[in-house]
Order: sequence, then C-alpha cells, then structure tokens
Amino acid sequence: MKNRARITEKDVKALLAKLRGSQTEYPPELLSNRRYMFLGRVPQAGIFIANAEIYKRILQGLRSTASLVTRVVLLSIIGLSAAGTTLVATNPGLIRVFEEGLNNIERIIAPATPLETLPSPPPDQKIPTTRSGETPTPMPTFTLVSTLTPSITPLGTQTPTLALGINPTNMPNANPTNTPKFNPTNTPKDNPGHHYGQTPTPPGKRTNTP
Amino acid sequence: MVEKKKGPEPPPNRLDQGVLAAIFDLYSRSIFRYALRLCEDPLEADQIVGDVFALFQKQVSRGGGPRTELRTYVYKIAYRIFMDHARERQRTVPTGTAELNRRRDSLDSLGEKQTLLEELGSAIQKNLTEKQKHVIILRYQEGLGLREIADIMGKDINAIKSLQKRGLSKLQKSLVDKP
Repeated sequence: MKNRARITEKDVKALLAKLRGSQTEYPPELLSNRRYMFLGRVPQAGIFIANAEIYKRILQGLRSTASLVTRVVLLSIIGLSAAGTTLVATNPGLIRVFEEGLNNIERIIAPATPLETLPSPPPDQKIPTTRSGETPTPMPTFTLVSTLTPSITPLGTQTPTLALGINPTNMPNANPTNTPKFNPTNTPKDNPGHHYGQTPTPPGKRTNTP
Repeated sequence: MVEKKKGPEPPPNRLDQGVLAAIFDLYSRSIFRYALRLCEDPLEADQIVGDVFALFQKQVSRGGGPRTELRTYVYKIAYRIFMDHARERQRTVPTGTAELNRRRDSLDSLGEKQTLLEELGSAIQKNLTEKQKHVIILRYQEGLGLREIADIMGKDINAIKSLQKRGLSKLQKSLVDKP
C-alpha cells in the first residue's frame, strides 16, 4: 500500500471505483415487496398520461429515420439512457417488455382517425360571374399562419402558444380612394411653414409685397 | 333538428403496467444503492425507493415525467427526496446520524482496524457537504456523467465540477491526515 502522505486525487478516484464494486445489493425480499407495492398502486388499465403528445412527437420524428434508428436508440430516445439501454439490451426479458410497452404507447397515442382534410375544388370550376358580366372582385383573404408551439412547464402542464401571422399582401384597404397614401420615405420638397414664426400668410393679406 | 354525429372517442393516453414494471426493474436497484450510500440503512433506502417511484408515478400521471432522459429523471426525484430529508435532519435532532456515529465510534473503540476503503466510505459521510456527497456518489459510484449530475441537481456543470474537485480534495486530505 502506498504511503498515506502520498495519496493523490487519482488514488482517491481509484479507491472510489473499488468502493463501487463493494456495493450492497437490494435484499430480494425488500425488492419484491417494494415492487408489489408499487405495481399495486398502478391500476390494471395503466396510468393515464396527459403528455402523450410528447411521446407522439418523439415517435413521429423517429418514423422518418426509422431505418437508421436501431432499437437501442429508439429506447434511448423514448427515455432510457445509455446505461439503461445497455442493461435492457443484455436482458431479453426486458427487451420484450419494453417493445411491448413501446408498441402500446405508439398504438395508443397514434390518432384513431386521420385528420380531416377539406376537399379541394375541381380544377375546371370557374368563379361565377355577375349579371353585368363582370367578374366580382374576390374577397380579400387573410392568411392565418398558426404555429402551435407547446411549451412544457416543469410541472408538466402543456401551455400552447398560438402565434398568428397575417399575410400583409392580402390586407384589405378600408378606404382606398380617400385615404392619402403615406410614404414615410418621402422627404418634403418644400417647407410647409409649420415652424414658429414662419407660418405662410395668404397672398391677399400680405402687407409687405414688394 | 340535426343530430350531432358522435365521433370516435379519443384514444386513451396511458402507460401500462408492463412499462412501469420494467422501469421499476431497471432503476430500483440503482436507486437503492444510491440511497444506501447516503443513509447507510437498508430499510430507509428501501423506503426511499418507494417514495421515488410513488412520486414518479404521480408526476407521470399529472402530465410530468421525463422529457429526455428517464434515468436522470428518476435520480432527480431521488436527489430531491434526499435534500428534503437533509433539510429535515438539520431542523430536527439528527437521530440517524448520531446513531451512525455511535456505531462507528464503538467500532473504533473496539480497536477494529479499518481498511482504506472503509475510511473512505466514512469520510464521504463525515467530511463532505451534502452536495459534495451527492456529486461524489453519483459520479464515482453510480457512474453518471457531469452533465447528468448537473441536470439532476439543477446546477451548472461548472458548479458540479467545482463540487467534485472540492469533494475529492477533502477525501484525499481526510485519508492523508488520518492517524
């Protein structure tokens, strides 16, 4: 054994690693009791999770690259860390349980019905004309771009924030003829005279005409 | 009167018992070891395992649960439980610690020769602060990475490095100074 005075941090790390090896295992009877108690709290139907969307997004993201993603990575992304997955990978029983669990999650959180899509009009359909034969001005259309960004709070409540974007090109002009156009980039060509002491007087009232 | 058509019921969102049992099987042992290293009492460690998984189930059913790493999440729950216990111990009479120290003193008084490993185990308990203890145990005995520990303890990675450095030098000093 090394002289105590020469013990370095490196030696302490080595000793800690040795200490790791001399770990006490979970007494089997305590473990089985605890497991029984834990699972006893879980109803047969499982527990309902409010944030299935998260799992759904994880899985949807994975589907696109499914060919590249191995089972271990899949398990890792769904929540198990690398060390955990190693343990799972070495235990066929756990692999089966997790695969069942994963399939279950995927089946459960997948939408039961596909999203409703509005039928697009047939391509040969023309816009109906008015009596005078003029084509009516199409109604101004707003393009609402909604981006639903769920932000997850630590307590797990999902707070979606809705960002609405209005396409400015389709904005209707309320009174296009009467409203003067204002161009902020235009510079005044002549002095309007709205300065102190420089208010222009009408030509008839001028006294000091040359 | 137009009768409203009933759409298909939304799919239930649930985690079944199999998954939860597998999660328990995966982490109960490591949480037990972590707890045992901190409290040195198998019954208390077992109780902590129970608390951790009860809280885990509660969080998941409330819509919480892990975002990325399940292991980090489970350890985080355990860490919070320990910190609560530590605060409780500071407020009340430290019966557990006193008992533990009495046991150690009696061993010392009997003149039982302690090995370096035992001394180290004792130094972890006696000489380190609560946070240093967690960092050292999680890093060198549970084998977690610095980033994971930072996530568990809710601290910056540099703070974890600093806690680790101070903890290691304290342990080194305690082993060197031991008569």
